Amino acid sequence: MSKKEFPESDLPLTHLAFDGEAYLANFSDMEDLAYEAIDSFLSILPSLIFEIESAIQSQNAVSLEISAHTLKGNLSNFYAGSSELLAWQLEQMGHGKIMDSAHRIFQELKIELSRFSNDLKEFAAVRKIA
Amino acid sequence: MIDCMANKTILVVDDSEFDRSLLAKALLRKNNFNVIEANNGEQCFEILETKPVHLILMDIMMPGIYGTQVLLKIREKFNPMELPIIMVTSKADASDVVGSLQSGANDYITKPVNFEVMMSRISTHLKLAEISEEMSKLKEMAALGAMIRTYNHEINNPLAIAIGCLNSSLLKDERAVDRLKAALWRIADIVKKIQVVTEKKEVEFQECGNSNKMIKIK
Repeated sequence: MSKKEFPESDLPLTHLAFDGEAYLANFSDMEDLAYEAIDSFLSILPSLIFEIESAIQSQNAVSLEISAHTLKGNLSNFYAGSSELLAWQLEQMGHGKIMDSAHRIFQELKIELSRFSNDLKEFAAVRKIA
Repeated sequence: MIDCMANKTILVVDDSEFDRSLLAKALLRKNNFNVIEANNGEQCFEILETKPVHLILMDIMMPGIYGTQVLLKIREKFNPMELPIIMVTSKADASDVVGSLQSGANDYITKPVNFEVMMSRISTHLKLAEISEEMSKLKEMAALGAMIRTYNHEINNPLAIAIGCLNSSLLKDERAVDRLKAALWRIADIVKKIQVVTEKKEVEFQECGNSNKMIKIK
């Protein structure tokens, strides 16, 4: 599938796996909630990945669109630019019912999400030590 | 000054448990709102049937029934001033934003939700809803006052004539009986006209001195 088949994304052009500074800035007077959200997200992330994987395996475009959209929305809270972009691509594939490259993009997403998870854990651990 | 944010209930509609819960917790911590959560359109409708809600934050894209469809159904029952709805959307969903606003959404916020912006938008729409409610009450009171003045003015005169005729020793006089009949028919006519006016959705007013208004019934 060529890139031309996708609409232009206005997602932030960032390759950061996780922008901790931007994330924390939004929780100015609610820092506890910021860290609570990290724990909560890390606990549900495997199920979100599983949903996408299942949709790709069963070639269910509607399910891929919804599950990728949900993950993209969740990731946006963390300013996770690179993973968000890949989730968006999967969402568009589901929307357009063209899933040829979905498996490849999903593999890239898994790698990015692994980086992202590690960054999140590190970020939360620094705070716990402090 | 009206504290429009106090004791208000916000309904958060989002199929993503994580996003929904994050918004709910932020609303609670920022302003101690009463927060109710719904994970789809059906739950949203059920809640609106049973609980008072002052504002809705709703995700545009949800499985099953799309956010804009939920929005249209809510608007069949509640106008934008009665129940403000703020849509929550991804930055990439610009066309959905336009669709939502055309379908009756009051406003939108984009993900990642900036909590300060969210609070500011909520505050604005709660204030507008409160002002609109106050205006409606004032209009109702004005209409009620005008209605009472109309009854007083239109009925008192023929009533006084009728009573005068009844008290008159000349009641046996045919002219007095005619005047009495005319006065009573006038009262009956006025009552009928006022009934017609009250069945209308809008009423017209007319000045009746001292800056007072009466309902226009003729």
